[in-house]
Amino acid sequence: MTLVRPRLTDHHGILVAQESVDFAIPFLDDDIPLYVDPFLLWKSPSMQETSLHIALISAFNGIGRMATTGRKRDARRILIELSECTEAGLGQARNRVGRRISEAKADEIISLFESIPDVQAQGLQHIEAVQLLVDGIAKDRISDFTCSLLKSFLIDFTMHNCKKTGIPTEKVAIENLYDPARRHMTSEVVDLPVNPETKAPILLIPKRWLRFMPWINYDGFFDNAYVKLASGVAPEGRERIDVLAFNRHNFGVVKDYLDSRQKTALDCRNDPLFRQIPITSAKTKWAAIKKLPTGTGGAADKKYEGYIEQLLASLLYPQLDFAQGQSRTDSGAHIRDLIFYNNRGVDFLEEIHEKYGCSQIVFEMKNVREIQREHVNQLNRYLVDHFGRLAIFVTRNPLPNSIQRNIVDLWSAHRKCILVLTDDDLQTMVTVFESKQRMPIEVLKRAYVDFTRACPS
Amino acid sequence: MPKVTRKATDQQESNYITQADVEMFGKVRSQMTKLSADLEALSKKSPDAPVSKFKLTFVNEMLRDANRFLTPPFKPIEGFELFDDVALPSNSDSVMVLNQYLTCLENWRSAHIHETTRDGFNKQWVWNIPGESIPAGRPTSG
Repeated sequence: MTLVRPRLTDHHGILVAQESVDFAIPFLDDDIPLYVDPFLLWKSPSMQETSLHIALISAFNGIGRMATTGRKRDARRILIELSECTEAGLGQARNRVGRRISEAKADEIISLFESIPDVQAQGLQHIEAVQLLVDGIAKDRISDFTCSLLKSFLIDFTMHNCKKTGIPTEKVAIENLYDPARRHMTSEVVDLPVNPETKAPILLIPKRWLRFMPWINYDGFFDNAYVKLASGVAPEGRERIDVLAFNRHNFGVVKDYLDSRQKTALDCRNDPLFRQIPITSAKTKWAAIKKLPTGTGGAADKKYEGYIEQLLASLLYPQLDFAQGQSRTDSGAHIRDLIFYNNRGVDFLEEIHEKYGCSQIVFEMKNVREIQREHVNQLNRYLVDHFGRLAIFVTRNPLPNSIQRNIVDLWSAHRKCILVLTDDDLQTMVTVFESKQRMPIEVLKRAYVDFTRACPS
Repeated sequence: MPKVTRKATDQQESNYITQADVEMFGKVRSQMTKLSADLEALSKKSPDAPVSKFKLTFVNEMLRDANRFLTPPFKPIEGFELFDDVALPSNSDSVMVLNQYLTCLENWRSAHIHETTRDGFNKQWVWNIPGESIPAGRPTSG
C-alpha cells in the first residue's frame, strides 16, 4: 500500500490524530519542519524537563572544558558527531539526510571556551547562545545538538510511546550516544521504530519541545539588542560576521539579551504542528469562494482549489490531519486533490475505514456548475489502494438527479462511495467553525449518512 | 362552601385525563415556550446555523415528552417524531417545529378542559379530571 506523504503511524495502520499524541508523528520521507528549542525545557514547570536542560548545558560545557584541559581533539570529534541527529527527523531536509559540522566549525565552537573569559569561567547558560557567537550555527544545529545530547531520554520517551500507541519496534543500534560521565561517545542496541525502507532508527520528539524558531535566536538578538546599542558602542558593520565578532568580544551584550529573553519566558510557547487559519480568515476565504464564477475563466478553478485547500485543512482539523494537496492528470484533465490521513477520530471515520478501507481520504475539487458523468468516472478510476473505495467531491452545486443515481449505482455495483460537499455545506462548515456550536466534520458526516440512506438497503 | 356543579358531556368523558397528565403538560409547555423563545433569538441572528448538540438534546427531550400527549389527531407534523442529530437541524428549523408543537399542545389542552358553573353563575374552565376541579385557562383554539 502506497500512502501519500506517509507517517510512521499510518504506515503501521495505527490511525491516531496528531492532536491526540504527545509526540510529533514522524514522516517517513520528509522532515517535520520544526525544531527542538532547548529554552522550552528551561522554562518548563516540569522538574524533569528543567533537569534535562541542566544535564544538556552541563554536558555541552563539559565538552568545552575538555578542550581547555588537553583533550581538544576528543572534544572536536564529539562536537562533530553530536552536530547531526538524523534519528529525530526535524528540519527541512526532504530526504532526511543532514550534514555534520566541519572540523573548523567545531574548533570555532571550542574557541568560545578558550577566548571568552565569561564562558571559560562559568560555561554557557543557554546552548542557543552559540548562534550569536559562531557563524553557520543556526536553529537546525541547536536542535540537533539538543537531540543528540538528550538522546538517552529520547530513546526512553520513544520506547514508552511506541508501547502506548502500538508502534512496532525492532532491535537497532543507536550510534553517537554521548556518555556525559565518561565524556565519550558510545552506542547501544535498543528497541526503536525504524524507517521501513532504510531501516534507520526513528526517535519520537515531544511536541511540547518544538518551535519553528528558537526563543533565543540571531534575528531576535539583532532587532532587539544589537540595533539598540548606543551609538559608538556597536561597530559600523552590520553584517552577520561583524555582529558575531562583536559579540565574542562583548559577551556582556549577549548576556543582557539572554537575561531579557528569560524575563519574557512566559510568552514562549511551543508551536503547533498544524496551525488553523483564524475565523476571520476562514470567513474571508469563504466570501471569496462565493464570488468566484464556475469554470476556468480568470483562473477561477485555480483560485477555488487554493481557497478550498486552506479552508478544509483548517475546518477538518483536528479530526482529520491534512497530508498534502497533489495534482494528477486523467484523460488530459488536470485534477487537484486534497489528501487527509484518516485518524478514525470520529465514529463515522472508523466506519468508512472498516467498510471502505480508507486509510487516507481524498477530496477532489471541481469548480464546475454541474458534475458530469466523466467527473464521476475519473474519481472512480482513482479509488484504489490507500484511498479505499470512498472519495469526496467538493463542488459548487448539488448533483443533478441523473448523476446522483449514477453514484448510487456505483455503490450498488462496486460498493464504492462518492460523497459530495457543496457550497451550502461549506457555508455550514464555516458557520459552525465560527460559532463553535458544532464541529465542521459533522457536515461531512451528514453527507455520508445522507448518501447511505439514499443507497438501496 | 358551594359545591361545583359538574356537567360533563359524553365527549368530555372520552377526554378524561389524570392529575399527573396536567402536571406533566404544564411542565412541558412552559419549558417548550421558553426554549422556543431562546432559539428564536438565536434564529434571528443566524437562522441557518445548526443547533448545538446540547441544545438539540434538550429540544428532543421536550419533543419526546410532548409526543406523549400529541397523538393523532393532535400530532403536529405527520411523520415527524424527533430531530435527527446527524441532519444538523438549523435554529430556524427548530423554532418552526417548536411553534407547531406549542400550537398543537394548546389544541390538546382545549380539548381536555370544560366549562363549569358554581350555583348557576361564576363560570370557570377546569380540566377533564373525574372528581377533581383543577382550574384551567380559557381555551384559545377550537
